[in-house]
Amino acid sequence: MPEDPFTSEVIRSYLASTVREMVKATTRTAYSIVFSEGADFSCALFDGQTRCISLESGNPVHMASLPSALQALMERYPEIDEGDVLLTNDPYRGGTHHSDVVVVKPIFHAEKLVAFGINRGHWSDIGGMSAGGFSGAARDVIQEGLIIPPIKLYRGGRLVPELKDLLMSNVRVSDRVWGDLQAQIAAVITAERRVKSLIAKYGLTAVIDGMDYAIAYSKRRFLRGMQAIPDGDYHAVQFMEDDGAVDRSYRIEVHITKEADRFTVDFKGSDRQALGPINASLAVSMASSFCALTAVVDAYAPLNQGVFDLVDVIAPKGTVVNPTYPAPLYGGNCDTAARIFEAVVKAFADAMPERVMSGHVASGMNTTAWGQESETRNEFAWYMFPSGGWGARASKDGNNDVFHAMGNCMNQPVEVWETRYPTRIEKCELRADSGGAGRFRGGLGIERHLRMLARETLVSALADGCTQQPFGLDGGQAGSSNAFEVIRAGDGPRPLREVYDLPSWGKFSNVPLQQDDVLSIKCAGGGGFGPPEERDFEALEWDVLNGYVSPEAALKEYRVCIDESTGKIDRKKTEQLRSRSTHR
Amino acid sequence: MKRIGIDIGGTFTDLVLYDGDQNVISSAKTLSTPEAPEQAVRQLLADVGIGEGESFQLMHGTTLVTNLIVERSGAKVGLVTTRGFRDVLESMRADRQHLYDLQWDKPKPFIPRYLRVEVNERLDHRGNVLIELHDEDVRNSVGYLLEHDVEAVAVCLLHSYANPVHERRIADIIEEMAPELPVTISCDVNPEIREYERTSTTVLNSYALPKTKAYVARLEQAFSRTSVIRYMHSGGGLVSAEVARSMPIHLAFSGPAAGVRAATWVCQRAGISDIVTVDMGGTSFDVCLVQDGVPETTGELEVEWEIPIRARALNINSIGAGGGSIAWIDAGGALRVGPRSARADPGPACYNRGGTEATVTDANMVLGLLNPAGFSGSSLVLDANKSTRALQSLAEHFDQPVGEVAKGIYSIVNANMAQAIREITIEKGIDPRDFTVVSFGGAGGQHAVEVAKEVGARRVAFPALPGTFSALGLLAADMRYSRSKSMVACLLDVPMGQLSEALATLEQQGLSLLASEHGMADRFSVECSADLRYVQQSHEINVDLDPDDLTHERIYAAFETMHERLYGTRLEDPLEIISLHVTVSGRVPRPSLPEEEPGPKALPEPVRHTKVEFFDEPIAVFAREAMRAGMAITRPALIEEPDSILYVPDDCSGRIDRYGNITVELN
Repeated sequence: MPEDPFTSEVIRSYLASTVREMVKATTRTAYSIVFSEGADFSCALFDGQTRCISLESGNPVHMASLPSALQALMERYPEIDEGDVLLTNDPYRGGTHHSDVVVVKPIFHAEKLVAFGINRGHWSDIGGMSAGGFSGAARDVIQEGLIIPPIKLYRGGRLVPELKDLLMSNVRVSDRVWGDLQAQIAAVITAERRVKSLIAKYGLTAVIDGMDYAIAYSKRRFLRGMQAIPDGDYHAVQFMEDDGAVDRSYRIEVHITKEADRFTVDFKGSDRQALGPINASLAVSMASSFCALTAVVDAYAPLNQGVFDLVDVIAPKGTVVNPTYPAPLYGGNCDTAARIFEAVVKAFADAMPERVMSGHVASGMNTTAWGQESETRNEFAWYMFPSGGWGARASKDGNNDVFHAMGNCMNQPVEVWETRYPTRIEKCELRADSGGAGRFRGGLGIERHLRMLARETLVSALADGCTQQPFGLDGGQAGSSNAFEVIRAGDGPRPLREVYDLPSWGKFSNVPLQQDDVLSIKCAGGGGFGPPEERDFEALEWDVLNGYVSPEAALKEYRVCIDESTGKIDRKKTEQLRSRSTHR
Repeated sequence: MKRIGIDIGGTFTDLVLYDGDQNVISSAKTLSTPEAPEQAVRQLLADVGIGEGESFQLMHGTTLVTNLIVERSGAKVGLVTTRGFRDVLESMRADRQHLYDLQWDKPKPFIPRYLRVEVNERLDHRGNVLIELHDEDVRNSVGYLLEHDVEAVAVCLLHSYANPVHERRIADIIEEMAPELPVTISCDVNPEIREYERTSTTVLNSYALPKTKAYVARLEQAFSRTSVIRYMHSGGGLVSAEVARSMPIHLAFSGPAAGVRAATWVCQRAGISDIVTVDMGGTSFDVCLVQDGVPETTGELEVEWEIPIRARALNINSIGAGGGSIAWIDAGGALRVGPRSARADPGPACYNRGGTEATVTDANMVLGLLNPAGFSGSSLVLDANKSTRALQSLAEHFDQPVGEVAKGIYSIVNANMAQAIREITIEKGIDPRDFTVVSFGGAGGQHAVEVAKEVGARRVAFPALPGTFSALGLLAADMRYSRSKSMVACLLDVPMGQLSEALATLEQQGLSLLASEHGMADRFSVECSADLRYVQQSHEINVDLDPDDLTHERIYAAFETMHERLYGTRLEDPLEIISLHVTVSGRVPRPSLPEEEPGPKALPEPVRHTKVEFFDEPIAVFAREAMRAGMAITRPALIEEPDSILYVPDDCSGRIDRYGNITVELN
């Protein structure tokens, strides 16, 4: 610990704001909506010993895996120089999934390596069998997209043009991808500038002390949060409902041991790896565990090495949470990550109900499409990542329409979307009754209708939670599931799976939707908390007034009679109803 | 004609009077009367000798609209949207404020779902009508809202920025059905792309409208028989009562804008035109960048997390750092300062009103930067022992002497403020070394020079007339009307003739608003700009346009220069134009500021010497009113103002200019 805790605190907060500035630089210069509105990228500063100092994340799954990605880069390149920019996305070497490309810039002071500026961002396309990624049909990691082993794209500040050509020849919409990569580079250049000016002001020793302090600070803070959690064993199970290939579910089991100064998350009992692309790379399973523990222990503890060092993750090889090469794993980054998060949080539900929440959308509902515009024949590729309902808490309702816990993407404005893609969005509406009933109700999911305007649009998705529902806690009911449906003129909505005879409800590739087909994407509502009959009558009347709960659902799920003329609860009838069913 | 600036804040109402005939400036201050604001105004007018029935021009700044929104005390509003989109307001952008906090609650929408109704209609992004609007459908929806006794209606339809036809028709129908009901349509208040931000702006306008309208009516009724009243908007200009009443959302950042105006003007008189204004009050620290005498503007500010207002506003970056900011130990055992504040009640511990937590003011007291006897302009007596006691528990936690903790609080709050300045300078490619930090606001005097050092600025100015500075700014503002319009297209596809025509239309709209202002303003001028981006990007950069010299090449070059300044790269890709902005302004004559020929350098006798923690020897304390033009400060000093104290540390030298400003050069 340095002598003056106040100067170190000033340096720590400067480093944190540097990372926030990296985020801004990326957002503002990015070419794709995935970056700029979706915020599907993360920025970080590491010290010269490759320890994480500070990170800001649009997508929590990115970050805990950064140390292993940096490790892989350093192993490949023991010699690095000022001006180098390194890249990798290899999911079997510290990566999350192919689309998340790590960009690293080493930062030097007087020829000494002092830090790394890092950006990991989701490219709009990474080659592979389906445009924009998310192929539910992939059976190995090669099919899923281009794997970039550790490379130096810039050497001493100069671009290696052959590498650029190689990369850009293997991705679709390459101009957009190159624009996004430049945004990532803008972020790491920002990091370099700021760290250098910090050193110029305070001197190298004080900055290195400040970095040590940042790690010690997070560790101390996390340990303090841990004190509130009783030592012992915690356990929960969650499932992935299928893998897009075989109609069977995959078990994710967590055994968490909490000691005074350590968490061990052991995935023993989890199912063997899947045939389809839902496997979570080890990096993803670790990241999801770190994030969930942070949510339970201290949601505001800045994550860095100080926290990572307090958590051991044991994931048996060859399982759905740590597959062996070449198992496909593109989707593990999203929905499987969210399931792991939920499993870890759920494990603490009995012991500390006030720190958890019921099940939530737990899916990115990742949907991608590719096609050519009818008139111009211009290519288009879009990527939609709708959000859904969040779980109710021990003392309040769940939030409506929020991105799942292992990401934090913004939705894409309809008006901007329609200027770019031949798709008209006809509805973005909260789904009545999608929130699980309970003393506290689950948040509502959203339903979106997309009308296809191109002659043909090839749609792919990789979404879980279409048959299983977000769980309720303490007697609360489950929320509604996700669904993909198609609506055609003169016909009601029909599940895509039935219309196209797909192997899965939510994981499919290149489904050829025709002009004027309307794709309906329905997102899950959160689970409820506590028995529905204990819901406050005024809260329920408000739900009915606002259409969050229909009068029918009020009767069926909450066993409450709504007076049609006033919209209020008919207390007498309700009492009768409830006493009748109690006597039953 | 006498000209009067009145700034009505939550606690005080300030007045500055400029009497053109006598060429004198006078000021007065009293407690605000929130229930009937005109009462405080009447009293102040009497204080400065304005008789009943005397005519004058009144420029008014107010925190009314901000308070209505922040305190959620606005009207019951109904919203009309395109079928399928009534939940845009509630979904917001679907992200979270805090990544991991499972107990976080999304902000409640300003209009509950049952008061959000849909009509069957649809436009595409070019403004083509895909589904016709039917009057009957509108009448049903509006009828429902009327049954629910809404006090105002907001209308926001998809793609209405491209074609207002359906929104206007709905407004007409509402007027037929309920002639008195205030209606805001999005194409009037903010015809720009992105539906959530436009809806939010439109809804907040409706939300603030009824009460603002009543407020404006009260003031007009009280004074308009004899006088003209104009209102300061977020962009630092003045608008008519008509605009204030129908577009109250433009007044949302009225108060802070006036301070920036004052600083810009006073400094320009003194020949300083590149400045960073810093206003440190009791709870917040507001900063704004002014280049070449022009404050930076933005098209969007948030009133709360993800509750945006899209309107031309001064780009004021505000953080929770002020004299009342509380120092605390966070869950990781680190010392933090703010954003929670002890506010005016109970205030810092040394105010002796029951506050026990250590604030920035208490730390400054321990450091010796404040006078326990209080300020000459207030009867408040400060209790230094209370400050020491408040810092005691922090001292024990860190096992450090109280003085060291006070230094820690001082350096951490300074670092926070420096970061707020970095965000509007270094992070945007502006080198703060070329800028003068201009400090006003009660608490800033003790920090400004150290904060300037922290960001590398070389000069600090403490302007003259600090007590009622914002009210002074009202007398330094022009009439300004801004109009915007989205125009989404590839730049190369837009013929310059079409661009010029679109700008001319916006200019005409602005000029027609200005037309009635001939009594107030002369020398009309026009500023044009466009929001541009590389075709694939999502965030725009605002670039100035010269309407008399529009070429693709010029616009392209201006954009690339700006992109490189902001982000370090030129991508040489095609550009897309998103929105156009035009501001027309009519210059309001400025008062003349009192001047004094510089005299000798020697300082007056110090009023006393005092011990300051940073130095072994006591340093001199001067009274600001005794500081005359030409005097030079060469040693560390404190300078007492009626309600503040300025701290001039070592490593710098100060002087008093002919206008009474104190400028401090950093070595």
